[in-house]
Amino acid sequence: MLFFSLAAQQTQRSLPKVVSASVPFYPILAPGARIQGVVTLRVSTDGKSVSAIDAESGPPMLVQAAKENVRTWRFEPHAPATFGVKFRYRLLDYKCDSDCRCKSQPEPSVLLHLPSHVEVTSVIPMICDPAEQTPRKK
Amino acid sequence: MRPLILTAETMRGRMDLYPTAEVFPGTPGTIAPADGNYAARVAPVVAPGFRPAPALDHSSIADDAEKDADLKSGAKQFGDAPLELGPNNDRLEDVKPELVNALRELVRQYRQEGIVARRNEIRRIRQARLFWQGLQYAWWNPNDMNWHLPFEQRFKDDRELEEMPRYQFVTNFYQGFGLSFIAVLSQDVPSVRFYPQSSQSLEDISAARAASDVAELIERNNEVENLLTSIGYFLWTDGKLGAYVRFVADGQRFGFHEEQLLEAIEIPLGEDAYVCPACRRETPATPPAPGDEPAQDPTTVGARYIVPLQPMRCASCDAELGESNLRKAERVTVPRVVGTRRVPNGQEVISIAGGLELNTPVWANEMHEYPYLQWQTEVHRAKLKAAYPHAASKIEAASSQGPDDVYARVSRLSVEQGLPSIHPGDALMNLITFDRTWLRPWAFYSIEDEAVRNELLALFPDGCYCGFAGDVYCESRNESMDDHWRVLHALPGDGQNRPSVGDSLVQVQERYNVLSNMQAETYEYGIPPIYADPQVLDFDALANQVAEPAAHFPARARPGQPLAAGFFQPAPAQVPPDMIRHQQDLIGPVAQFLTGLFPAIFGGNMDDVKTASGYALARDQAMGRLGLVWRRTKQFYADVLLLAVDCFRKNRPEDAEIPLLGPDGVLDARVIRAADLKGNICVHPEADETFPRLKSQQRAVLQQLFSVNDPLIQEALAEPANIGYIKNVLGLSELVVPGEDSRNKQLREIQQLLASAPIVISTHLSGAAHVAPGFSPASAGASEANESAAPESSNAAPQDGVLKGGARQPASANSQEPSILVLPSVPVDQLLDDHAVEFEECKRWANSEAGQSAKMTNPAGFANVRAHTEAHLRAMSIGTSALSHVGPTQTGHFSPVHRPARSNELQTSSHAAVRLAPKESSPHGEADRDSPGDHWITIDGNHVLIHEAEGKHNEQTPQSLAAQIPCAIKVAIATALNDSNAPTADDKKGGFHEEYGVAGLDASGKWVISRDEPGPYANPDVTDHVSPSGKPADKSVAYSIVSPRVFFHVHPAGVTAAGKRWVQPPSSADKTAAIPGQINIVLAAGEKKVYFYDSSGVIGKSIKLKDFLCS
Repeated sequence: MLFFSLAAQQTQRSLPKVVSASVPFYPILAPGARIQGVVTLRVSTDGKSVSAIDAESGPPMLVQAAKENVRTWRFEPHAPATFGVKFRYRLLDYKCDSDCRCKSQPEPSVLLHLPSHVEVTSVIPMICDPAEQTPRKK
Repeated sequence: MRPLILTAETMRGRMDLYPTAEVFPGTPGTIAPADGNYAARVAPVVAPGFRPAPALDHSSIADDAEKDADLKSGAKQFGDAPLELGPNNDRLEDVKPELVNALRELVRQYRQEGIVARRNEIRRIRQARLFWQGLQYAWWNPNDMNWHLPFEQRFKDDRELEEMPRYQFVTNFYQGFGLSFIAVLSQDVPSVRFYPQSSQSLEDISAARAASDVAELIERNNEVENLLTSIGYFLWTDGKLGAYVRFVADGQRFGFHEEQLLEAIEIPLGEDAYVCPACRRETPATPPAPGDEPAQDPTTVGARYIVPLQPMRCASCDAELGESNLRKAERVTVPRVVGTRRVPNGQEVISIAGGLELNTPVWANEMHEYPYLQWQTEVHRAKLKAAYPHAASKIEAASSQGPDDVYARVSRLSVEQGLPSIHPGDALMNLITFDRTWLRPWAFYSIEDEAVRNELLALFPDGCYCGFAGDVYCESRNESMDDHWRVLHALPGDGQNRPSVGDSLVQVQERYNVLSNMQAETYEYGIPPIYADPQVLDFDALANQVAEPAAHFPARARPGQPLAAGFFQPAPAQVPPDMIRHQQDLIGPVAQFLTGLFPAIFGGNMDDVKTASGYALARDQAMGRLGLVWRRTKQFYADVLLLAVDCFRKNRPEDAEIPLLGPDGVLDARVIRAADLKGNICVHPEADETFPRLKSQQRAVLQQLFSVNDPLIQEALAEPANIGYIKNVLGLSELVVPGEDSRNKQLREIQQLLASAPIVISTHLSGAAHVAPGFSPASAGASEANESAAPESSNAAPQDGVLKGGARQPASANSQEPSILVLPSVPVDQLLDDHAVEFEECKRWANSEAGQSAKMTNPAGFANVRAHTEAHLRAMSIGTSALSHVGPTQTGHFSPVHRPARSNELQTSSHAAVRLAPKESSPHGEADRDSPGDHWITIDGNHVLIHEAEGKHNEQTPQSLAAQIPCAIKVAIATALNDSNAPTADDKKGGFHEEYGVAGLDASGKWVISRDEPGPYANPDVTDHVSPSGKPADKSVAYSIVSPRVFFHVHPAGVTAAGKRWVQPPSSADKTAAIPGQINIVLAAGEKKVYFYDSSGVIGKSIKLKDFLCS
């Protein structure tokens, strides 16, 4: 475990440093379609910004969103490099109280470990249908 | 032009000894002696030492390698021996009298070399200055080499009295023409442009830019208009002048400021303690009792302790502790303010010296040939005594001088007195001739004594400045005349004694005066007598009769003759008409031709010119003639300013702040940073100014342009940026111009925008808009600066789907690329700003020199201005939309007037704002415009674009929405209703669980439907709500969808025994969770109806399931 951590740190050090990036968001239609999963990308840089992105795996809708975000990354000047990036998109369940006030546990969040991996969570559309008294037939 | 290189040498000026100022000899900050208020000098006599001579006068002796080498060797020989001479070699005469004698002799010798020509020059200039004063009848007496007035008292020879002209009327057109010349020359300040020595050197470029600011400050401090007037005067009368540039620290003239006095003190970083040599125990040193004096160095604080009378002993082992065991804590040196002192302010001063005061070698054609340059003025001895206390006892009444020195002195004093010769009634003996001489290093080679010569070369490797009050040595220093002086001649010619502009008019004036006097004499003495016949007129009676009005005189005509026949009067003397014409020629065409000052210059009448264009042509021609002098003056002025800039950077110890009136009419503080002035620069006058531009000329041209019907010209005149200039030229400063306030406001905003970077927003078309994390305006600017650093980036067609520096805009047809939105740090006011005017002002500024410069040097600031400009453009679009009330998207959500944004409030600013992107940034036309769902929100004053999928359309109906769904998908959706009624693992009977699904397109464009697992059993009698499972039944199907279109779920049909069931229409939560821009459906299993809804509610009315399905 320690070895893995050190190796990961070592890898982290060798990766180019991101100096600016947009916040990755969950595609707005994906939670409704229950789409989640891990997107793996292969990113190439030209020493300053992203020059090419190859998708290795992941739902197409999420791949598109991940690519969009990676394109906004800007790096400290560095030697052109290619490295892998993982975007983990995860949907959260929700709970509702008696008044249909619904809330996810935990809250949706974005976790950035640039430029190696990103974790984005969202919540599925919170459908909460209450009961009603059956109308009397006339 | 010789490039100037900044040196670290810092010099300060001495009091200004009208009109002089030299290096202030005291330490910086000591009270400087000032005019008539000498304060005791605090200057320590610090030996500057002999400096080695690496920086010899390259311009003067660069072509003589041998001399150069000699000089350097000579300098080195004495370069290592510091002497106690004082800051300005005050004590040189005490320490090295032979050097002072050599200097004195050298100055005298050089002056004698051209004495005859110099005498002639003085005579010419003196006459010209007398002419200026109206003393035009002075005559030259070669015996005493002096000018005399005709009726001044003569003691030796009275014969001249009879030869003197009787009349001395003066019609001083010499002065009149001169005033016209000076007015023309000083009307416009020559434009000067500083250039970097190397366009590749950033240091040079920043120095050139800062030099322009410095020049502006210097012009203001030196009242440049008055300087130009002096230049014009000396060009007219003397034909030669010099400009002396130096830094003057003088509290009397420029005020004082307070400076803190600092001293270095030591502070201990801990306690002093005795360390026992036996057991190593530490015993703190005893702190002093109150009132005890510290035993330490008075500059040491915080380390006071008392050395005990009795030896201290260790508390642990009782060992004796002595001074050797005292361990002092580590100490650091820090500055401490011990007081303040009054420091005189200083500034760069430019003085103009005329030909009478400026003595240059007559044989030299150019300045670099001068071995010496001498500036002589008469200064009151009290002032000199105050300025040079070390020589005060020697500076007494005017000392003995040679006859030629006396001649020059008398000439200067006489013109200052306004008399042809000095008047003995004034106490002129108190005025000492103060000679200041600059010598080039090679000038020392006139000294035969090699030892003395080498000493002087070592002492003054760059050249020597020496000042003598009469014969009394005052000061000297190492100073190059090229660093402080520029000399200008009015006309091209040979040597130094060249004519002035007005010289050719002197003799014309004299001739005119003669003719004028003859005319007056003729009129006065030309009245003829009347002869009368004594037979006719009774002379005796006439003599006895009192003359009174209507008197009767006895007269008798001869018989047969009229009375008039007894009288005769000869014809009166007439001034010949030819003489009158000649006089008019002299004052007219002759004078005009000789001076180049034609009537067009001073607005005079021209008989042979009848049209305005003729007058304009004549004026241009006249100005072209004066251009000869004007061009020389411009170059001279540019050179002087360069010297002044160099003086600034040598003498200003810190950054200087200057208040400047900005183009927006607001006083702006501009800081000139000393660090910006380190590069090499050169200077050139503006090349396109071939002659002075008179305001009247500009006004006339403007009036002509107003009457021209050319639309291009009218457009130029209507250009808002030109209005200020037009107002100024026409003199209508109070005229209110529409939009002027907005333009000024915009210019102020541009200054604010340049001070920060824009705010960068990244917008995903997937539906989210967000400010990038950590993008404070500053960091965002840095990021954006990187993106827009390349000047072409902001205008080039986006290649990566990002419109840099502007509004968000998708780049690809499928609108799947992200956009970066750049927002200005100064937002526009949607309601109150005059967007059209401010937008135009932004555009004008961006294309101006200032804008282009900012684009290169401050890309982040420029991007900020650009974002602000786009905000105005968007606001203009809103205005257009609001006026037309036509919304292309027909969303019905338009709000023509938007409530002003409040801080911390999230509000919709506009829908239509983003609809009309600027054409130049919308190469794909309509397809690239923001979609109807987009809208702007304002967060903390920043506008952020939110992209949303298209919402409800007014024309949407359940039927139209249903029609968008293929029949097979409808059937599959209807199947979910049946599945809700069917039993599941926990819903044993069915009807008490929800079904959920989504239909959309996969990557190949085919419709796909994905269903969730059945929702959990929910009995309305037991639980509060029912929900879908949230888990797709087949993940591979769900994940294959790339474009979801229909989201549906079933509200179950089951009814409990208590008569409760689950709500059938879309619930509040359903509406809240509705997917924007998509088709949201609730299948009411109990009602067998289909509801279409969005976040605002149910769309239309529900439809029956059978109507939903295709027939």
